[in-house]
Amino acid sequence: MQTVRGCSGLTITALATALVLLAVLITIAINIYTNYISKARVTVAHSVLDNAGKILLSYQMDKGSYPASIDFINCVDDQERMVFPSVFCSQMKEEFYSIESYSLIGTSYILTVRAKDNKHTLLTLTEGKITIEGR
Amino acid sequence: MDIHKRRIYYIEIKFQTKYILLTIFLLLTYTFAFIIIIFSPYILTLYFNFYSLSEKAEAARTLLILHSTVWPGIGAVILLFGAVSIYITHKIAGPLYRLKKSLFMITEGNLDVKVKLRKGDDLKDLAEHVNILVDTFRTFVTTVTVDYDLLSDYISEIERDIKANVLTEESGRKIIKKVQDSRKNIETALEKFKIQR
Repeated sequence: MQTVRGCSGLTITALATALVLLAVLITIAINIYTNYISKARVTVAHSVLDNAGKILLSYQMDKGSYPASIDFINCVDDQERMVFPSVFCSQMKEEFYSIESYSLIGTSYILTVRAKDNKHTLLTLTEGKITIEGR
Repeated sequence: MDIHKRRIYYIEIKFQTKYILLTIFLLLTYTFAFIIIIFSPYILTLYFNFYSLSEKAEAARTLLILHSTVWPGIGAVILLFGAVSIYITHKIAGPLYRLKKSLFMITEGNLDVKVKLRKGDDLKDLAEHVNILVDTFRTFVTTVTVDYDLLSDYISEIERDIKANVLTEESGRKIIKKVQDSRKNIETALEKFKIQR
């Protein structure tokens, strides 16, 4: 008698196992991905803060000293003079989670901001030098 | 068989589960590969320290834009393909279920079965072949039944003639001729089927 063998193809068990393996792989990938999204947010904040440092340096070269204080709502100093251009001011508000503080200590200044990542990483700018919390 | 629209979408559980799992697997694999291809250049730029801060910032901005735009699209594609796969497996599983049921009835000896599929169903060719097979079986069984009746009549005729003692060589030859005709009919019907003896 001629017999026709049925081809079962992939079994549900094999597929489920493959799916579980893929799920593990995806979980690892998601972890790496979210880390890099956070890193991207910190990098963006870092870059904006770097530009802020350059603008503050040109302010210092122009006015002879760094601003005593900055009103970050309008980005003006204590004498209502523009510190940051309005476009950059908007960018700062958009790219930082918060601007924590600005203070003038002697001839130097400290500007601290928080990045928009999950941990709201603290970035500190001191005369062109940026330090990032946890690095 | 009723040919109204199916209300149950999960007919052949094993078959459909298997193909839904396969679709999910393929979708996830493609998405995974797609995401790696799309995001890896920017992730690598952020990873290596030999890139300048401005280059890293540009890569970071692009990565964040992609992050906020790509995922809704991917989600929509996964949902769409998931729904399409369920629809397609249903289009195959329905006819498969019907064919299975019909074949079971045929093996039970019911040769009045006719597989009817719904409009737009898949496996119509297979259903037609099953219908042709049933027709062939029905014709064969009808032929054999008719000839069985005829042969029964001839046997009765011979018995009657023997009993009445009127069986002559000529009447005997006539009956043998009729029996041979019936046998030929059965042989013709059997020629269609091949079996190893």
